[in-house]
Amino acid sequence: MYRLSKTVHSLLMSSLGLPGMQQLLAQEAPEETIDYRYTHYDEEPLPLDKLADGDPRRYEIDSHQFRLVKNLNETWTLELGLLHEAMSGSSPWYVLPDPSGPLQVMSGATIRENRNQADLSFARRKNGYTHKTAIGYSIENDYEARYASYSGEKDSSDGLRTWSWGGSYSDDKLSPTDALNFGRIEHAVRDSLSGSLGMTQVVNRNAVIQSSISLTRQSGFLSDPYKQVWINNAVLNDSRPDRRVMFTWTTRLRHYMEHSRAALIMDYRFFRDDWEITAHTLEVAWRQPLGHDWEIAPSIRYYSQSAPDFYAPFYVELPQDGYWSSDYRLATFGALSYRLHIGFRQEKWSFSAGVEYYNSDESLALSGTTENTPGLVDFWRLTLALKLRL
Amino acid sequence: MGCPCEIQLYARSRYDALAAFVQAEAEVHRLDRKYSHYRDDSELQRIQKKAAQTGGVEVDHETAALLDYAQTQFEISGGLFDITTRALSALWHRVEELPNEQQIQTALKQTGWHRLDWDGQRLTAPVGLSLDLGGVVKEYAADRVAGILQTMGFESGYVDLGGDLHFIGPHPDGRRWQTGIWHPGGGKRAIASIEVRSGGLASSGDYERYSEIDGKRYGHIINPETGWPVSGLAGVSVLAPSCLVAGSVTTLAMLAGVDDGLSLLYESGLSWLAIHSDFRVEGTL
Repeated sequence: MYRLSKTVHSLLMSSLGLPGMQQLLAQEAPEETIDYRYTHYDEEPLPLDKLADGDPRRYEIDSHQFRLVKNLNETWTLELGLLHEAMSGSSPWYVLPDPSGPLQVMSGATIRENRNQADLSFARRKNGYTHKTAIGYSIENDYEARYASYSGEKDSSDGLRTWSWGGSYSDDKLSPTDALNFGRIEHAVRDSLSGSLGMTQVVNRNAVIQSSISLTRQSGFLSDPYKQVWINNAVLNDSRPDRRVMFTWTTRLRHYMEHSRAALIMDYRFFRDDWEITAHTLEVAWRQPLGHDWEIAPSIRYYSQSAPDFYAPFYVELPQDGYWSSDYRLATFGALSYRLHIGFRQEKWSFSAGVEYYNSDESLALSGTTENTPGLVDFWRLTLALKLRL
Repeated sequence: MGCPCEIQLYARSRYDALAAFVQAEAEVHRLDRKYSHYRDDSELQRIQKKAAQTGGVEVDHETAALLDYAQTQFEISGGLFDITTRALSALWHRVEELPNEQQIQTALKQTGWHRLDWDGQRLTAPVGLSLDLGGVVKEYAADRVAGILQTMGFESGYVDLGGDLHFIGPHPDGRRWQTGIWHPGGGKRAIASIEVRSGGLASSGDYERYSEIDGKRYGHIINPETGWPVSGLAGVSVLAPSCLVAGSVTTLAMLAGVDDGLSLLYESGLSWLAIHSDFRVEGTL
């Protein structure tokens, strides 16, 4: 069964309002697929008027991702994912004060690095429940992560509501390169434990609302071993608290437009952690089918965050609490990203391409800031994906 | 439901199977009591009476969802698939001679979804116009029962409510269920045998309910524009994710006439089987 006609699609969508129907249709075994996805991520070079020293060329990442979804029988589904990522470029080190405004010092030499990742999951559907257990392993020359997760889903008896819950654990080891030459920590560990709870509710035959909360606790070495700070003419290693508790609340509204067969998708995400970072993300997407085979989906996303107390682009005095970081990713800033996705679908395969431009700036922050963060990044991302249905 | 019903299940024990049948039967009876137009005490009759009064009637969630679905059927079929054709069906129900033009015109005046006022919660209907959920409730019931059995943990089996089927899943060893499609010529023989793994299967054709006048068969599917039974395909079977949607597509294909019916099926993206009036079989099932 593939590419349902508009007639059948309308009937199916309309029938979802009936008690139990969504649950019944969701019990079908997932489609068996093989996916390949290529992503090219390209950060724009640092403007020369913001550069104090080092190489202005920033990260470029090429990633290749494979995914296999295979039903073992009526109830069990296996998923295997493989990822290879090649990274190159230079990264921001620390920020120097300057009469013209703070200037960014970048790493001099180009960093080249590879990351490989594999994950395997088993999902079981039974009695209206879906249970999924996954394990994964990721390795690069200075970082190793092992992780495991569980997630569950249960439909309510009327089929109009789905509950979901999950937990995950990750155990990471860091062994920064050139540790001795640069005075970096030689070995460090961090772990992360998180739990989530979510609900999906069918509002009417055209609208679905989804809401979830999650709590994550990280502990161990949470500083970035490659980042430094300028404190009154001295350059010290990045130093962040060794514990972090993060909370997120995500709400998604999907509204299906019967006449145009389009879908309006609105996402809002609230983030808060005990480092006192608050962030908001709002995304609006429009998915429009064009004829039988094509789909186009433009979207726009806005992001804003406020910096933790211990963040500063540079320091005049040594902070008494022992925490400091000039990592631009912790600064107060806002960002806008624009995306366009095009999909083409045939019976046995589908292809999609997406392009995204991301632009971040202090002036886009909701809270407003007078601080200058020269390291803020702008990037382009291109995604090509091919899916084969088995 | 006024038809032979059958459930086939692989269960761990006799007790599990019995518990399943009890629940299944209870659900079928619930829907039958609620939506039957043969029972004076059904919820549908109550709604019908109240809908004809000033201000109409507010309906429960399940009925609202069925009416929403009926509205979709009406809209996507350009008015052909109409649940208000009860007056017309009654006129053509097992008649022995053809109704005259005046009878047809009278019945047509008591027909038309567009004459209803349905806002998603409240229904107001003109006096004389009656709803016939027969074309959706049996299919919906097959889906409901399959859903209940699935929730109880059954993975292999099917539900058959008088030809409206929902297959929960194949035999435990993965074999598909074999089922026959009746020959429109009658005589309880199969014209085709098909294999189904899971999903809803519905069939429609003039071999189930028809009137024969002067050697010509008149089916039970009436065109609400002309007031006459349609003369299109002799039979259609469709396999869809749900029996409800399968049933709607079979009826739409029957209503549309041979050419439009076939192109609707070819474009549907579903698996289907169509039987021509000369008993030629065509399709993807």
